[in-house]
Amino acid sequence: MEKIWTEKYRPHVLDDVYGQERVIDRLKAYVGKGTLPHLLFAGPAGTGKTTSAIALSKEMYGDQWKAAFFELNASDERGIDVIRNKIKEYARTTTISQRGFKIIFMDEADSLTSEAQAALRRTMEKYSNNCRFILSCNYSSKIIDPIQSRCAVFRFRHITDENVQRWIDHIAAEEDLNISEEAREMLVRLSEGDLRRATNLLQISASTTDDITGEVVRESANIARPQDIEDLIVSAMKDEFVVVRKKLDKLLIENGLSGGDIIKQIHKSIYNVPMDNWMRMKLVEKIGEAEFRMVQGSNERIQLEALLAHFALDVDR
Amino acid sequence: MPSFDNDENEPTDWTEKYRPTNLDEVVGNGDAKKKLVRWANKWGKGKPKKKAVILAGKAGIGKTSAALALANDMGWEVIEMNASDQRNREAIQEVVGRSSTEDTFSPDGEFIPYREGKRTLIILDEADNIFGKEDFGGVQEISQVISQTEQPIVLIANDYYSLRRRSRNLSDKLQKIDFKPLNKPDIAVLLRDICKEERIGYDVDALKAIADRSDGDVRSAIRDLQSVAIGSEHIKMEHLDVLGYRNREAEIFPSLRTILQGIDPHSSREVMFEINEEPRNLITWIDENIPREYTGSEELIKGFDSLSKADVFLGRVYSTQYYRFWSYATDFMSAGVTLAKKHPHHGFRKYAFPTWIRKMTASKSKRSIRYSLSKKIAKYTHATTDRITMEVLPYFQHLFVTDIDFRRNMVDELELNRGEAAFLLSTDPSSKDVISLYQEEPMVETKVEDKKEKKEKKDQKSLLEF
Repeated sequence: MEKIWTEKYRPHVLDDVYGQERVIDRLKAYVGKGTLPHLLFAGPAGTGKTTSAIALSKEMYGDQWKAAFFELNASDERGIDVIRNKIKEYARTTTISQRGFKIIFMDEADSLTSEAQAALRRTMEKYSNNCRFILSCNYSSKIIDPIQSRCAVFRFRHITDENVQRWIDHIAAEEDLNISEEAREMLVRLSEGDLRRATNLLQISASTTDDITGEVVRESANIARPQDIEDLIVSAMKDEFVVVRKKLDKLLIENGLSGGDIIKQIHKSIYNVPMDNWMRMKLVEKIGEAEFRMVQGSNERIQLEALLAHFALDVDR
Repeated sequence: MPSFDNDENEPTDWTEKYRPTNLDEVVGNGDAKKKLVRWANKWGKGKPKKKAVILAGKAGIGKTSAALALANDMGWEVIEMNASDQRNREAIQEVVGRSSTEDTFSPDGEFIPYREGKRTLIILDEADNIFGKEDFGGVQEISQVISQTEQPIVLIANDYYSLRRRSRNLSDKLQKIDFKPLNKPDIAVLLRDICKEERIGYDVDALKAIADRSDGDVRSAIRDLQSVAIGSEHIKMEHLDVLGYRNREAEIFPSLRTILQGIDPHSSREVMFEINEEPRNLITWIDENIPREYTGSEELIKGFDSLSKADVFLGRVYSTQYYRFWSYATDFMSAGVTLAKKHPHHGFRKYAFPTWIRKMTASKSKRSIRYSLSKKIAKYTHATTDRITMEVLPYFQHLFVTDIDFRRNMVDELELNRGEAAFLLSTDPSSKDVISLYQEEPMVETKVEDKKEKKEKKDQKSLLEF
């Protein structure tokens, strides 16, 4: 097991992309005609947006695809100017494919502010004679209208449980794994329609044994998605604040999570921690408020502390 | 290709980098060192009456260093167990029991039959922590191991008496060797030597202040030195501010008490003007101490809520460069925090200097390694760096640790450097596991490797870690 399975099993051709039949049919039509408009892929994580973009390029350009496909990650680049320069440089290089255009794939386009998107739009116009853009995002509504109207919009759905299961079985067959019924159900449930997560979980499970039981999956899930956040919540509900803060610092410093990550995970995990429903909704409001303030503030830790202080609301310290 | 930048081979943590190799280099504690050598020499002639010693004394004064240096001087192998290891009965039996009565194995896993004469020093670090609930049976186990052992054992503890209270039977089997806090001039001299080695300029006063603050804890002194040395070529008194030094505490604590104990918002605002400190530093002091004074949940909520508003204004200052917002920020962090309570607080509660900045400085290199690592994995798997850090890194690390083929292949494909590999293995870039990953590379490296081999000896890593 020397590779990362998400790469080992990433489909090379559009036909092998799971669970997005309608999208794939249309993409194949573009390949057939050899033309491409700008595309906007919208949908949750792990549903095949990046995979489809890569597979599309491979089918369009064959062996030459790497030269004709440029991948950018909006949330990883430092600002729109950096992005524009990179695009400029790539678009300018003359190796034009037989198709007459190259593809620029930009992941997480919705992480750009609307000003940055406006700048991006001008860049798209400027290079549209020899570049096609595929923008990928979680929510198309966060993409400004002028960009949307220039793109063919494709919606990627959550992968259905059935398809997640097929995917798991597919890998299991390739890797000679024995997966118990309980384990399969757990894998499907924990993946939440996200094939990347399913694949990662399966790989960790398989790293210890070929006979994958529910217990193995449970242990693996703890590695892949540490329970630290739930632990933090529970601690905030009962422990002294200095203790809670130590745990928070560990997440921020040792695990390197950003304040935004932690807030997001607190929101997600709060439904797994037993508490009064009414109190939970109050806390959800506080979580949202904390995220809002974090965007404006300067010190993420202070905002997280302010949030965690609320968790002990009904408890005598 | 994996890069071989020389500096990546050096431990980035100065407390590791400057860990003494020989007992002579261990600063201070002359008596303790003599006792230790005497005890070790007895092992050369057979078995001493007390087969285990316990090095007792507060943190950071060279106990572990002395034990490792002793082993190096004697040419002994080392097996080290830390408090972080699972120390249940079985684990101890497995490692200490076997290695001490039958064969020993060297750090790279080779067996050394003990009759061939080479000793293995068993180091049980943080031995006073061994007796928690989860370590049920640990005491008796160690006691038994000491009775049976054919190999020298060193226990290390901060609090000898808590151990003695727990088990007389155990403590009777130990020869106690006391380690004392180092005196300040010794520490200052050591700091000076490090500065010279690192080619960093210094003001003598600044080094004295660090030594003074350390209270004889040489490790914390070195750590402080490294924290202030990052990014500066000359260490001056004012750089020490970031560490929250004593004199600073004396200045700021009374003002903090006005804010956190009083109920008069006007006084709180006033003391803010007296402290000569930027609001963004000031807020960390208040932040650090709110939970030390506000223990009721309502006070805590209101206090932090006010602080969070202050932080929002600070954020606005930075995003707009409009410094008038500072005054709102300081109002919230002073008067606002004061008004979180209805009644004044009395009595003395211990305040602390802000740990946050210090923690962030100390973890800087580690965080940057994690970032570069996440970035490489992100590129390789077509995902975002954030998502990798959050979801994939722990799983990647698990596979990297458990699966040697995966490890080798990923080092190659992602072009991981030694620092990154060491990070994933939770070890040092100069450890055997990391070096072996790069060994099949061209010959150019052999010279460096040889030098590393020596270093190896002092970087003894617990076998249990893997």
